[in-house]
Amino acid sequence: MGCLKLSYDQGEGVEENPTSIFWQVYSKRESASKKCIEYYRYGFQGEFSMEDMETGWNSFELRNYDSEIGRWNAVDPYRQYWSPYVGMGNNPTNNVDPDGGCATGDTPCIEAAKAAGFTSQADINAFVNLDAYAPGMLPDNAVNLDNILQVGQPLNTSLTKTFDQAQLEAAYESAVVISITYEFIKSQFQNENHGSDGTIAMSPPMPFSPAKTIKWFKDYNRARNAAIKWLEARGFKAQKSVLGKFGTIKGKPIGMKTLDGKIGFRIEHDARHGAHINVWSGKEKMTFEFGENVTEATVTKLQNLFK
Amino acid sequence: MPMSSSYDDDIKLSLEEDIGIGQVQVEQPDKYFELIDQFFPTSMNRIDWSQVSQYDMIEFELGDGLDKILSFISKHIEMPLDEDVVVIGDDLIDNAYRLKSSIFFENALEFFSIPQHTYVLFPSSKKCLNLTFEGDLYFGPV
Repeated sequence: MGCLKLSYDQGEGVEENPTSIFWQVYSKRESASKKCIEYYRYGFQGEFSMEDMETGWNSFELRNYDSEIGRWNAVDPYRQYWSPYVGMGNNPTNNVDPDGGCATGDTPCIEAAKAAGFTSQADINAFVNLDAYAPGMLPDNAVNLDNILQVGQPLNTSLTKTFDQAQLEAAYESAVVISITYEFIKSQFQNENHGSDGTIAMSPPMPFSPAKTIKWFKDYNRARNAAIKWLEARGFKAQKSVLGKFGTIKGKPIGMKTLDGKIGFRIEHDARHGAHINVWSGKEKMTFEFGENVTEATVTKLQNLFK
Repeated sequence: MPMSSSYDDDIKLSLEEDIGIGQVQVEQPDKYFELIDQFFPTSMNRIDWSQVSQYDMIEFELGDGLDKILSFISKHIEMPLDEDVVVIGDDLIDNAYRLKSSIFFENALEFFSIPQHTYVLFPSSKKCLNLTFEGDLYFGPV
């Protein structure tokens, strides 16, 4: 059915009167006309988003954006700006956010890309859009960066660039990578996304468990640096000891936290995860495992640093 | 009166009505840590489940929901919902919460959302449900 072409003078239109046959015809025609208006759905931020006809929001891959107020309607999975709802760093004419996760032309995504050794704009953009290295996407058997590299590629089919181990390690130590949370991963894979043709399409199935908020590092120093960055990004101050509760470690420090206890870390060891640093902020948490054969005795020495 | 962290405040808010009518008792946790020390092998500030002869373990995330917890436990015990359980955490909550298991399960995700090692003790059967910081959910002995 083609579009109705409705023409009328606004000032001399049909008076609103639901009982009037003229009003009923007029209102139906107006409704049909509105539905058939063809407009360019890719106006704001170009090809990266489509405007939803009903809400007026721009639908990006990860979030919806209300261009009238310049704010996202969901929190930023990358925590790029001081407010999780700020759009394009309050500079939508110069910054581009390809997926609703991170605006280019701004930090910390760019810093992370540079830390990974990327210099060209194309490489930086590829990195910024690369979701494959989020810790929540680590498969159960990903115990080193080589495995992560292998399994990371299929998650972003548009990405053809490969990354060497040094780049990955540098990227892993950057705040932007470690700040991605399970909720983001889950929403990306389990929620409905708008397909490129405007239809609603289900996201691809999860390739592996999204449950892991655990990362592995070769040694304590690397894990510590990553943990510190994670904590600093959340305003951590070491003000109070975290004390052990059991056996010989009872009453002894195993980490540090803020006075209110809402942000902190603890160094631990168990048979399943080996040596690791647990960090938390509110109810958000992350585990940084390190080394392959780090003993309980070594972890005890590390814990003693906080006496 | 036990101390109270902000995490305790959230828990108490969730349990406000049940605390008010005496269905939940807020206690000092020390004796329950001693109970764990007494009945379970511990190492490096947690139960060393690798030393427990009979236990079960699954990975758990909050998004898995309550059903996963219930189906995990029900594999091993038929628990009357009026049995008392005690919930303690090893850092972020300062109190022990003694409550009916039915009330615990209603609020299990609230307890388990706190980033710490959380222990749910079943004093009458000397069993423990333990969600570790890392997301491993243990139950035993089975």
